[in-house]
Amino acid sequence: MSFDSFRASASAVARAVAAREITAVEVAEAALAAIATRNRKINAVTVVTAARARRKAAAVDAAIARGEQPGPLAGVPYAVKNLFDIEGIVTRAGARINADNQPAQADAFVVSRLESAGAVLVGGLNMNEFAYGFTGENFHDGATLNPHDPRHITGGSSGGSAAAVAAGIVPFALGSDTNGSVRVPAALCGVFGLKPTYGRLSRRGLFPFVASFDHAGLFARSTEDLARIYDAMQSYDAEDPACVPRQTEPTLPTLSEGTRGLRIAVAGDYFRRGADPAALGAVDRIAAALAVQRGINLPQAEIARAAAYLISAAEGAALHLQRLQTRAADFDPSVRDRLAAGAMIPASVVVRAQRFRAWFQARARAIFADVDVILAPATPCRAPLIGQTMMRIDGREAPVRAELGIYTQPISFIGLPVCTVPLWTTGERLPLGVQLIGPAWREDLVLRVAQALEAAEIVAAPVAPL
Amino acid sequence: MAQNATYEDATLDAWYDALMNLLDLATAASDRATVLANLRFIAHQIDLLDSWPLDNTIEPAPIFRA
Repeated sequence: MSFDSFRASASAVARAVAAREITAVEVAEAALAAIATRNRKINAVTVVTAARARRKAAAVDAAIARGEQPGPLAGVPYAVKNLFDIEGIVTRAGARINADNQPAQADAFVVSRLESAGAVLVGGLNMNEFAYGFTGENFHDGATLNPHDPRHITGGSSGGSAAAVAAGIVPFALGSDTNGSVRVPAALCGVFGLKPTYGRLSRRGLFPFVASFDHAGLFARSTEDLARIYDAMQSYDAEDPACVPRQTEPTLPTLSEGTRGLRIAVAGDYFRRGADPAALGAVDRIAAALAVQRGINLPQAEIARAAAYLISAAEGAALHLQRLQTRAADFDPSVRDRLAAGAMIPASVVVRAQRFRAWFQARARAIFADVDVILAPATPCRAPLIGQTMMRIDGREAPVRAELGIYTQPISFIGLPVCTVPLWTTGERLPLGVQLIGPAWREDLVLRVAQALEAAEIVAAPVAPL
Repeated sequence: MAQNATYEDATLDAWYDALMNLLDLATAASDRATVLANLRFIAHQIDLLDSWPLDNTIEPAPIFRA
C-alpha cells in the first residue's frame, strides 16, 4: 500500500478510494492499527467499533466494484465524541452513571448522514464528564493527552475528538460545542474546528448538556475537509426542536473564492483583555495576513459571558437534578459541585439572562450589517499542564477551567458560526487558535477565510509526531 | 442579588442550606466549601447581569433562532 492514509486528508482518502488507488478495507485497517499503536500514548479513544468499521468498509468497496456512486466520504474513517449515539453502544457522555444505560437503538442523526456519505465509523472518543468542562480531563477514563506535548491538556470538552485528529488516528472527528467545546480543543490541539450556526445541524442522538446552546461540530486537518464533511452532515431534522428548516447550503463550491471583497474586523475591548500576549499576537498575525485594519466592539461581551454561564449552570443542573439526588457519589466531584450550585440559581435570573441574549443578538446583528467576519482569540493561552488548576494570565491568577472559555462563550451564546484555525510559532510545540466568526448561517464565509489562510500557509494542522 | 453586595458568608450559607433541603440534595461536608465557592462565582455573574438595564419590551429567547 503506497498511499499514505496516515497523513492523508479525508478528501484525499475519499478520492483515492473512489479511484481504487486503495480499498476502503485497507484504509479502515490502517485506522484501526493507528488506534492500537497511537491511542495508548494519548488516551483519546474510549470504544473501538472494529466490526462495524470492517463491515462498512467492505460494503463501500463492494459498491464501488458494482460501479455505484460511493458517496462523498466513501471509505473515510472517523470517530465521534462518546456523547453521540452509536447503534448498539452505550452512550457514555464521559460518565460512569451512563454506563448503566441501555445501548443506543440507532445512530445519532448526523452519524447516519455520514454513513449515507460512505464514511467509516471506527470508534467513540473521550470527553469531560457530561460535557461540563474545558480541559479534556475525564475523572473516570483519565485525561486525553495533547498529541503535541503529552504533559499538556487537549482542551475540552471534545478533547478526544481534537486529539484523535491531531494524532493522525482519524482524518476527522465529531464533537459538540455548548460554550466552546469544539473551539477550545481545536485551538489547543492545532486542528481546524467548525461550530456551525445554532440550529443548523441536528442534535438528535446527542446526549444533551444545555439545550439552549448545544451544537454538533467537527474537527479536521484541512479546510477542504471541514467544508466537505459539514456539507454532508447538513439536513433539516424536524425531531430536533432547535433545528431550523433551511435548505442545505453547501460551502465546498465557494471555498476557494478567497477573501477579496470580504469585510473583516478584529474584535476589541473584551476580546483584547485577559489573554497572554501570544494569544493576542495570533489574532494580529491573522489580521496582518488578511490586511485587516478595522476593529469592532461587541458591547457588553463580559455580561454575555456571565449570562451564558448562568443559563448553562441552570439548564445543566435541571437536566441532572434527579441524578444528583440519587447518584451523587458517581459523579466527577467537580461536575457534581458545579451542578449543585447551578440548581440553586433563581428562575428570574435565568429569564433575565435569556432576555439579555435577545438584546446581545440584536447588537451583534447590527455589527454584521457591515462586517462579514470577525477575528477573536479562541483561548487566552496555549494548553496548560494536565492537572493544573490555576494559571497566570495578563498579570493575575485565574482558574484554568473557567478561563479557557472566556472568548468562546459570548459567541456560542448567540449561536454564530465559527471556524477555529491553528497557528504555530517557531520554538513552541503547542499551537494557538483564532476564531473566525461569521453572521448566522454564513458558514461559507468563515470557511472561505480559513481556506485563504491555509493556502497562504498562515495556518496549518500537521499530524503530531507523537 | 443586590448590586455590589459583598456576599457575606452567612448569606451564601443560608442560600446553600435552604436550596439543598428544598432540592433534596445531599453532599458530603467536604463538598460544601466547593459548592459555596461556585455559588459565590454565580452571585458575581448575577450581579454582572443585573448591572445592565433591559427594556421591558425585550422578551426572553427560549428556543433560539440565530
